[in-house]
Amino acid sequence: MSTETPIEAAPMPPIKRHTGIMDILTTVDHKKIGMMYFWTALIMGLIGGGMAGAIRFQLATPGAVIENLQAVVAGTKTSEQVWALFSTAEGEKFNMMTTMHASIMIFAVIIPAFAAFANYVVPIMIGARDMAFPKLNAFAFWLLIPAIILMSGSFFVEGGAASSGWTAYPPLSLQGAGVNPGQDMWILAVHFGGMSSILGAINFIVTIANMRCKGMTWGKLPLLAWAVFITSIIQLMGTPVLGAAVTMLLFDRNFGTGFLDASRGGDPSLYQHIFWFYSHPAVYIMILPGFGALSHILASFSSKRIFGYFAMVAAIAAIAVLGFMVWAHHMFTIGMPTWMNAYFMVASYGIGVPTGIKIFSWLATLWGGKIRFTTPMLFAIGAVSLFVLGGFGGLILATVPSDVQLHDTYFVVGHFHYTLVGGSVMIIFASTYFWWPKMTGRFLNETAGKICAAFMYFGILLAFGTMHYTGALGMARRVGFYREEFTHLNHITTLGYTLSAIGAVILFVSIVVSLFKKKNATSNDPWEINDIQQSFEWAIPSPPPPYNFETVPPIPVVDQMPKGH
Amino acid sequence: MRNFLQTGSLCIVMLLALVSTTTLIAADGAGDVAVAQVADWEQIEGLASEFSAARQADALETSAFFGSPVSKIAREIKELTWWEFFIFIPFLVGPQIALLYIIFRYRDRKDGSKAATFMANHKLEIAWTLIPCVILVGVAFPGLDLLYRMELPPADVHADRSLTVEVTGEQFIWGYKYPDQDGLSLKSTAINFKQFTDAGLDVDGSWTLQEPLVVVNDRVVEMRLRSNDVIHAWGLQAFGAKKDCYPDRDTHLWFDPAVSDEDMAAGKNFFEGQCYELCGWGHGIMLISSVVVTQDDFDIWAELQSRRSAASSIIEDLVAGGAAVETAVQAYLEKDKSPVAQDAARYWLASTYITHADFLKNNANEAQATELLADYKKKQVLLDGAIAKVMN
Repeated sequence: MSTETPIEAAPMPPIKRHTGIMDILTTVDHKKIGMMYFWTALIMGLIGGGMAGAIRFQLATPGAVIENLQAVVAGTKTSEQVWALFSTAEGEKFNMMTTMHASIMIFAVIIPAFAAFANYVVPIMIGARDMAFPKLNAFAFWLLIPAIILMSGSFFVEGGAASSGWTAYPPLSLQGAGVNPGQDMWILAVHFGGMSSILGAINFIVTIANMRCKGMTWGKLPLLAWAVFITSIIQLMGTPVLGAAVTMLLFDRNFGTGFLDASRGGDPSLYQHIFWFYSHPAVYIMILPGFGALSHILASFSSKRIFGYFAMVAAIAAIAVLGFMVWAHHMFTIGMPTWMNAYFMVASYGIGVPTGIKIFSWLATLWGGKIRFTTPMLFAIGAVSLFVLGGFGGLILATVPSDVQLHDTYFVVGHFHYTLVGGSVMIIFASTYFWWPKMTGRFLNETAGKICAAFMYFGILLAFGTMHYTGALGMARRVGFYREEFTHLNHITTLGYTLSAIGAVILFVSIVVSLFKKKNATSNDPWEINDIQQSFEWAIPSPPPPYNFETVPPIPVVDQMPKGH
Repeated sequence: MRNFLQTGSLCIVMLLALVSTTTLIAADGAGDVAVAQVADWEQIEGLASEFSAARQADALETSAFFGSPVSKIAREIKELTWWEFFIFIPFLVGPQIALLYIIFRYRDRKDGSKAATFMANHKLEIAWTLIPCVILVGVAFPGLDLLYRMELPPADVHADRSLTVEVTGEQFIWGYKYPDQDGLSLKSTAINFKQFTDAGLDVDGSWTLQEPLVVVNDRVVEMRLRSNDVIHAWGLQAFGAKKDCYPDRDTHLWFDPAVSDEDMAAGKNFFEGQCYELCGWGHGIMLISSVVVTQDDFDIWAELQSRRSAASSIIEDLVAGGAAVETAVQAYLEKDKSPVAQDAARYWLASTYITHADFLKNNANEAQATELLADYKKKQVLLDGAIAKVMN
């Protein structure tokens, strides 16, 4: 226990604030910006999840290469009717859906959702009254809005939205240059989203490095703060590289350059290397803050402190470093030299070690505790379970010979949805239930929450577990029609989607309902966890007042690791 | 390669010679043919069925994916994957069981007891760092071994023994070229019903079937892949083959189809794959099919394919009614009157009709198939008559 005496707060500067819409537009308060990130992610999540629904219901029937052929031959459909199903327009629409589902889920849902909790909780956790650059923080949020408008708006322009996948591989993404602006709008949206990420990352790095209160040494920093700090470093290093990749696309499409256009001497595989140099670390941008939050939730509801704090920090850092060294495992079939495939295979295996440390440490955190099955805890336990399954698929895919068979099949789709939905989204739901009483002073309905957790867990298990099997049988991803032998498997996947969609709707309804309820989480520590956790955010009122603290630190900073170990 | 062509041609000649001496004229109403038929229609139809794109429907039942590989390399990949699966399964199941056990055992019983307070156990932490390291290093070796063996065909495969195929992807067609078979090439698309509907037959559909890539059993296939537009990926799981095609550089792929004798005899030699890299609106219908045949059949097929374009005018004329079939046959046989040339013309007639009739049958449309086959019988007579006339 730290023995430093709390220092007196400086008097609050009297600031006259706007109210209503002007308050939202002009606020620089990290808590309000956090809530704005949250609402953005929630609304975009409904849209992106709806797109997943469009995809799943297209795939609920084979769409039917064979079925429709039979209908034509049997004379129940004319060839024109069937051809229309597979025509340019329909095929393009399906590709638009997969492209925009992925882009929106990544850039407008998962990353902003973690930005929401990071914004809201991290400054409080480290004993800061706001971010280091409050105005920059607001600017970073507002940059996200044009990104979302460009992405969503691209559906309504000539030729529709981008349809070359969220990976936007050239030369496919170069087609339609000068005619269909959808792809250009996607590129600009990525630029806006990327700038938002970079500015947010700089802000978090500076805040966590410089704004920690007295006594909050690096070795005492809460894990969420560590995770956000390391994630921000990844964002700062990776996002400009993505910017470079899509800028080349933009120039090749519009200004006659030939970086990536083979017909002008460019190299399409150059794009893939640059793109994945960002986009592989990006998957850790989407999960590491979740790892931090997960540790807090698991520890809180098992009435214990986090097990193996230093190993946990080291594992997050190791994942971040290794994350930059494995990008080409997305490209095992492009015809790289064998020694490169070999290196990327072994390096990808390496990621399994720190991930394993985290899983085992979470289990050890639970061991010997007094586990309370609150809604956030159910989501957190579900996330651990599903993330293990996702990691398993990753090991199979990292093995090059196996990947040759599984590359670009549904096995890959199942794998990364286990990590991103089973991992990230489950943790976002857990965090929402966990910090909502702190953020608003209101509990979300616990009974509905538990039902929601069950729907989410089993829906995800069913939908993406089945996808692994479909993929092992050879069904390609990103196809709107498939052979009818895959029909039953796709029915199961669609059923799983439906279950988890019900779960998502329950969360949304719970949130809306809670806004009309009286504040019922009025104590500082509504979950009754802070005797053991000793975290700042549970030592101040719910919701926290402007500038968070009267005195900093409000309670003594605790050691994450007791002496003698 | 030339050896094989020669041997192959010799085989055909011998086969046809044998057939011509032992077979009588089979076609009805062709009694006035003066020149002996070189191969009977039944044999020709057998060949046409074997290479028929309509076997795609059979492949649906016999299609061998990850579960039942038919090349040696695919078998090794499958073994490796299963082996890994069993190594990794404790790491998949173990944490799940542990999680269930822990949340059951340490649930809050509300008995006033205190939770444990330990926060670290260095020995345990070192163990669960090092043990996965050791296991992963161990697992990596067989994977790396297979990876390096997948780079090039085994050294004991002599270059002469491999079959080279140049694959070209374009939106949404596969092109195959056999540079060692006199540059023989085919587009894997394009069989459609249009020619029949134009000829007034009641056959609906503008549907295309994928013409199969023909490869030889127990003979390594070496592919050079290239794209004409965007990136595609040629993938056929049963062969353990998948590689991207780029517009700016060649990529390489090899596999060694090894279908067992029983499966060959049972006709389980037709396999399906598809494009595995998003290539535009038609990505989902950019399918691949492949048939594995014996060397003898391959040589015959190559010989027939080489005469395909020359024979196409005859077939078009016959499908449209056969009004000018003699002129077409005259032009076709002008350069080469050999029995092989005659058989090629008959093969392409049989192939055109049988592919479509099989396809109709597979899709439960017997009526149209019967109509088509009745028409086919008439066209056989016409063709035989025209050939006899020209030969005289």
